[in-house]
Amino acid sequence: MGTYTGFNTGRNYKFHKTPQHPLERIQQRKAASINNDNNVSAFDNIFETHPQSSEHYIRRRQTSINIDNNQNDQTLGNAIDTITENSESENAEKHIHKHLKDNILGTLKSKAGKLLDSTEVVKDSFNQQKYSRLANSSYDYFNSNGDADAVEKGLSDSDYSHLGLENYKVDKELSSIDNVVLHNKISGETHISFRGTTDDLKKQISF
Amino acid sequence: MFNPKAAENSKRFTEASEQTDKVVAKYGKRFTTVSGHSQGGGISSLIGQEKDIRGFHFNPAISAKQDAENSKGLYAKNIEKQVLYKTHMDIASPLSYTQPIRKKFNVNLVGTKPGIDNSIVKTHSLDNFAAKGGLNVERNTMVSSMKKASEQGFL
Repeated sequence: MGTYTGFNTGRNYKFHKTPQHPLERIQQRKAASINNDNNVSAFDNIFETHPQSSEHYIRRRQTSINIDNNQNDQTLGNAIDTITENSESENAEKHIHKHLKDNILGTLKSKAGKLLDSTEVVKDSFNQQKYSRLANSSYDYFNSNGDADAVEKGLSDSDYSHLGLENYKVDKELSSIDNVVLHNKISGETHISFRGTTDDLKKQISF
Repeated sequence: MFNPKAAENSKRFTEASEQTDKVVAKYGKRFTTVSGHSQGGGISSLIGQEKDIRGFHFNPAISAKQDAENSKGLYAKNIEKQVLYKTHMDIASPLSYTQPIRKKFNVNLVGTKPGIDNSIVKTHSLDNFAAKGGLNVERNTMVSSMKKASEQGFL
């Protein structure tokens, strides 16, 4: 026996010289199937009979898609193959559904979980970072009981040197414990930072 | 912790308003800006709109009254820009994203930063808006910000 290809290579195919409407072709094949004494269907004209039995027309492809990253698990395709070949026909469907459910749920948990925890590197706007640091000055002023040096030290923090806030100085005359007034002599900018409550509940008592 | 009651009725707002007038008298309004976070953001946004001073507001506790005033077009003639920054799932600034506010404020939604994201309170933190070392920052995506803020509870 030659290599099983799935196609009936020994058959003499008849090709139409002129284009034929698909429906017409189907009707012809159907008629051929009904009139054939050997009960050979149109399907048999095209596909080779499987060496094991006529029920094995379709060679099942093994999927290479790993449904679950867990290497100990079988691929879903292999699992279904195993079930259909070894289980009673009435139980096969039930087993397949169970495997589908397990694999799909597993995939959703592993893949979707990563998606839900994902981060991205974004470029903040300069103003967002600059004014959030200036807004923070009012917290520094309040927490240091009105120490202007503490505020200016915070603004001069080298970690935030890209924002260029080192020239802002506290205007003590106009500042209050809740709101700090900053002035930059070089740029001429003036800023008022209004303190909020707190983002640290441990500090809440002192507010 | 968060006090969403109308900031305009509070003693703090009255003081802030008087203080701002003194600042404007001394330095002028042209190069003056205001900012605030949380309740301070509520105050800064209101001062910014009432006095038409450019403002930057972080997770601000915008009051229902201010939202209504914007809905009525009270500050329609203002010239200075108001910019609002809000983290996803921030509970103190629900009125920062209403239609009247979005119409008058430049509203920016910001992802939380890893490490300052695992509770509702940390999601509200001002530390989410700045970053050490530069403008390029690793941030949680919108979905991730919301998931982390909600799964860890209040603290």
